[in-house]
Amino acid sequence: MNAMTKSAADLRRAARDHIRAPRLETPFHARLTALSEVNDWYDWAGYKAPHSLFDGELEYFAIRSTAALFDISPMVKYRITGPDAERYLNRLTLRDVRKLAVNRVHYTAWCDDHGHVLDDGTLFRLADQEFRLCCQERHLPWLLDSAFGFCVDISEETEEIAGLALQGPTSYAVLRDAGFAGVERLKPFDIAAFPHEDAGVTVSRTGFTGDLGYELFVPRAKALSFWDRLWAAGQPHAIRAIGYGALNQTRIEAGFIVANADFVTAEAALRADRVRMPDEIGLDWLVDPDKPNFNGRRAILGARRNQSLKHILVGLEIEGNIPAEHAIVYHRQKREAGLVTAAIWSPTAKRNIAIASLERPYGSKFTEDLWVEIYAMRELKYQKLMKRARIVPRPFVRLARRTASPPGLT
Amino acid sequence: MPIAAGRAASFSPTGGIATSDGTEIAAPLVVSAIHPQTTFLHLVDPAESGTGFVRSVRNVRSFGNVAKLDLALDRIPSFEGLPAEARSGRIVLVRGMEQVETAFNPAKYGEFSPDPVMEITLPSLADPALAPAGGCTLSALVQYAPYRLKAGWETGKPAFLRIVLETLERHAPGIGTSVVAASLMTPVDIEAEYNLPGGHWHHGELQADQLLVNRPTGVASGYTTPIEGLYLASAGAHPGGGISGLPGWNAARHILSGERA
Repeated sequence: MNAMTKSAADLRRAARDHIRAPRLETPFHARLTALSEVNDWYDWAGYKAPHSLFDGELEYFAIRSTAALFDISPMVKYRITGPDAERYLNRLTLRDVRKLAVNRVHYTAWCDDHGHVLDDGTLFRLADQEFRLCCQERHLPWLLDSAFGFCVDISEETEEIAGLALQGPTSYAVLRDAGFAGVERLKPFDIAAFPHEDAGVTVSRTGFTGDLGYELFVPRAKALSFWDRLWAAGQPHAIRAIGYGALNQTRIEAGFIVANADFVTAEAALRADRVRMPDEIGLDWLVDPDKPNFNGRRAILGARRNQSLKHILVGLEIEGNIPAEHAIVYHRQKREAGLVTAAIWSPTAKRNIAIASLERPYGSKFTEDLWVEIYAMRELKYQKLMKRARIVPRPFVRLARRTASPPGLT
Repeated sequence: MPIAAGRAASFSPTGGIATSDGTEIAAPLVVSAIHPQTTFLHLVDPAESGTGFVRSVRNVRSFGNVAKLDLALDRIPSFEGLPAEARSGRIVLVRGMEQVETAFNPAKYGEFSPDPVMEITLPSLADPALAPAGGCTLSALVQYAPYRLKAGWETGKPAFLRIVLETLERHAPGIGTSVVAASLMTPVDIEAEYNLPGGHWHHGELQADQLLVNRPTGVASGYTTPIEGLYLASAGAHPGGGISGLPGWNAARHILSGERA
């Protein structure tokens, strides 16, 4: 049966059946569940995803010391093609897409008309008129509404495309031994296509860890054989499958933000003051005022001109070793200045680090004498700590191997 | 200068308009007395507007529900119960509010009214040059005639014209035999003839969400638009249609005042 032989009612009924599977399994689920020792799952965009597979700390050190395999299939993916694809994306997103060459990736974000960030993500230019946009939230109605007046095709391919992140110092060695000859030529943000069985795999030198690493996309049907190929080649290189807990630690070290964790996306925000402009979440560098008109341009440039930006995102280093997650930030220990959105003790930096959202002028004009109040739960009693916090540049961890070309083997 | 089939090159401060024959006219300021949907969806490159604004303009309700009847008559018609000297005024064929209400009901379901309400003038009485000596022109607005007629206007139009003429005949017996020529413009015809999206003679419905500071949409109200240097002055701007000239008057005052918003 196909769309030609099914009635419209049948198709509607089939599309309704998603309610029978409220939690989807990713194309790699069979492998993940076999490796899962701790059964620690969470919900990532409707998919069952591992928070941890065997031990959070060891998983973290797989990313930083060997090679870690992380299933990114639940990441929302859109395919955007057509003669106007570049012009369309240039109007949609903040950066200048005309500067994005074929077989290159850039990190970008997009806003509504008020300049409030809808999401951030990565844009892959697979061909002159062919792009893939990867992000956290779903945006199909917005993408379709944005297409008025442009000759583009837009489709969601989250379910059809399986994705893996292979990250860590031995990730290149794994790919080399898995037979991806030439992958050493990939510089950061480069893309290349390789054969896998009778299909293709798209490899990009990208990731969310601040480490040497790659992201790999294959058609859903090839997911398991592709996993097995990497897994076999990875054994001598101590490859480990990991969950989000470990990945999250490395992304904080790398200073990356997560939508609806470090900021509330404009379409998800219920409260009028929760939305954020790019300049309020550290994404001012993405805004290109010199390119043609883009969504939010007027509002963003207006806010800069009128100095009406209300918030600022900063990296903090906090004294002591207790993570300050969701702690309140104070100025002079008294005046509330903002909130910590992500915090860890960084095993690599050996520092107590945090990402915080501050209300200006704290963080912009007043950058000294900042404190965080940590509520450390100790056997049903909060131990309240007032710790000094210092604004420091992000990333907190900078690894030469992330950008070394050709990449190292260990 | 007609710019019907044109596409404005850009409405940037140094922009202007480009006409369909390729002529470019530079102007620091452009005032559009064209339907807001035509203005922002076709004359301005949508890339120059934000997605949210384009979406709001596309969702302006602008489907016409009124047909326009024009008749050439070989004599001045007589309406039952209407003194001859009153024929130069506005003649409304309606039994009461109840009929207006029930005449609208079929339009909700994509059908024209089988018992329409009509608003008639005899223009040649005021301007004899419109008709040969002894003749007369009749112009009428007929309600309701939905833009999206379920049966389609190709078959619907002759049927509706028959009903309209029968309605006239009831109030002006013998008028049918005096018709020299008849033209009925449905909203679809009005759309095609005047390049007016939806064939709505008010450039968008006059309802609460499309009035005052919401006309045509919040962001483009007050004659200023999100496109720098581009202003609105059509019936699609406050206070709407009715040939009052007020949108243009207000737009001109606003622009001359030098206010931005």
